[in-house]
Amino acid sequence: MSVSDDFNRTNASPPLASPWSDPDSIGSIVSNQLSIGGAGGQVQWAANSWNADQFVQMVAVNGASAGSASHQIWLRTDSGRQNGYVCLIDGAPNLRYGVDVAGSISWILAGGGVANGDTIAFTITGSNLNETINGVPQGGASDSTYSAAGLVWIGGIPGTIIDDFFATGEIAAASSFLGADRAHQPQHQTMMAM
Amino acid sequence: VAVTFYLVPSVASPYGGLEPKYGVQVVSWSGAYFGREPFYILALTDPDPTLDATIAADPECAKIPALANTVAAGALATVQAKVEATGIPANWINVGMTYQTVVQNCLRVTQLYQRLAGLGAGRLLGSGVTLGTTFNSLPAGVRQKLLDMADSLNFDKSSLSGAFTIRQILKALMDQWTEPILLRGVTF
Repeated sequence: MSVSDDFNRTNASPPLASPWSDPDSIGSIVSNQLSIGGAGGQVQWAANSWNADQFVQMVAVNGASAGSASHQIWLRTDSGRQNGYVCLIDGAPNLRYGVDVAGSISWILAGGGVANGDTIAFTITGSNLNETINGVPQGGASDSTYSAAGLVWIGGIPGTIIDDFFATGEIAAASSFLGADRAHQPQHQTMMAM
Repeated sequence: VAVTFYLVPSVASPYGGLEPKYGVQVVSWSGAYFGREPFYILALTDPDPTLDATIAADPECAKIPALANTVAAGALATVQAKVEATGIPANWINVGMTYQTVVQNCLRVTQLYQRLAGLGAGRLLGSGVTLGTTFNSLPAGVRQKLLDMADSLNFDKSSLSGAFTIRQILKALMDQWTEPILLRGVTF
């Protein structure tokens, strides 16, 4: 199962509409992109349940300039956006990921400078985590904190701009997708431009 | 490229939460965290010699020799003490054992601590609890978390009873870990 959203639709104020869930009312559509406003936060792809193995990628439109804790991907998390794995762009700006336990994150990898417009991705397969920038792996690590499927969220601090969300529980299919062909696209549940 | 491993305490991260001591001083690092215990195994690729020397000289830290090296008789007591100071039993470390095996077993225990954290357990050690504390002297809630951790990994729980110490329990569970563990491109 794979899903995607290119956010190509009419400008819209928060909350971000279905198939997203936007409990903090922070997601708006601006110029065919997802813009994070309010106090910042995350929106959840709510249309599907997920396997424990999860892959999410998105374009960090202003990844190098939005500031610390921009462009976040949360995997295997609960409805409170805790107790799962998070990957984000820090103030360096590098991509880093860590484990959230009851609201406290233990970072387990940092590296890989991010430029505006880079495609960032975060993958969990079993207990193996990995992050990529434009398809290039930035380092993997094993972690056994959480093994069960959870929710998928994306977001960031206010001013974060995101484009071309893609997610799957089928890691092999996602890897093929990174090869830049869109042959898989017809199989995806895709938000089409309005 | 060569990866160097260290035992280091966790510190507050400038990005919130915790990260390995010295992690913030390098652009790229990987670490295995110890769940609720305040330590990391830090992995650096081709570390800066000055930073490497600084970490090695830090009494809170330990630089792990090259993985192919073996534990020398003269180093055994120090290695065991450094490992146990992080909350990992070390009575299995012997003279002649490669540091590859030392790191592998330490990583296996980090996975146990991680699962404990994921199950909502608080810190196991501290507040009077040490590796020598027996299972039956732990609070009931802690005992149950340890049992839940073993269950979640499908491990034999016979060590989780009575007078078995935390040291013996972690060693028994560590020995049941068979899955490969990846850190900084090195598979253990």
